[in-house]
Amino acid sequence: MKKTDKTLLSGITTVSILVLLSLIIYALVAFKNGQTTIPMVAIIIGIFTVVIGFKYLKNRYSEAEKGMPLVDERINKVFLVAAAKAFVISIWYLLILAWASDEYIQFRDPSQALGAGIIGMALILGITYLWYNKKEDIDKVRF
Amino acid sequence: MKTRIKEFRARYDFTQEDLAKKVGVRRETIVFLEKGKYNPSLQLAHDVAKALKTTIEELFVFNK
Repeated sequence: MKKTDKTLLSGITTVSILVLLSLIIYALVAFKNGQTTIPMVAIIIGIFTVVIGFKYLKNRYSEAEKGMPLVDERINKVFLVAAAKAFVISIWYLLILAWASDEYIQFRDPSQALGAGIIGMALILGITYLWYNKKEDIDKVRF
Repeated sequence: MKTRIKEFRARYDFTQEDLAKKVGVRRETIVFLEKGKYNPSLQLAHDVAKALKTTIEELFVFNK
């Protein structure tokens, strides 16, 4: 395995573990404070991320161990398309979040709202990446 | 675009993984190439053709 690939994989794994731990701690604290809906959403997102992320990282580790690169020209293209699509979707997500925070969701403070925004945007990027990575004919995607 | 990668791969008894390692791409890139669902760069097309000891024209069949 190349040193750069090793560093990239270790980085992704570390960030994933930190995000998961943050979600768990946040959910526990929120449960203690009597909240139920937002911690439940956080736990569901956490489980979803663990299952998908574990499968993804396991595949990448085994491929990298066999001498295949983590990133190649197709993955670069997939990431560019996914990032562009995720950007547009994130604008809609933030608009909906802003609207819902007045009507339906009560955030404890601005930092909680910011966290929901950042985690949501990260998830959107992850989902669009997985979607376009599986999609055939990435060259035919139009904006 | 159609490709004859699978045919040439079988000729040299290469697995998708072997070819991916030789060319320096991920295995799934070879899968998409074989299905004709990914247009490779000229560099990648050249590398795949070289690994399979053939030419780009032999390997990739372009439909008008």
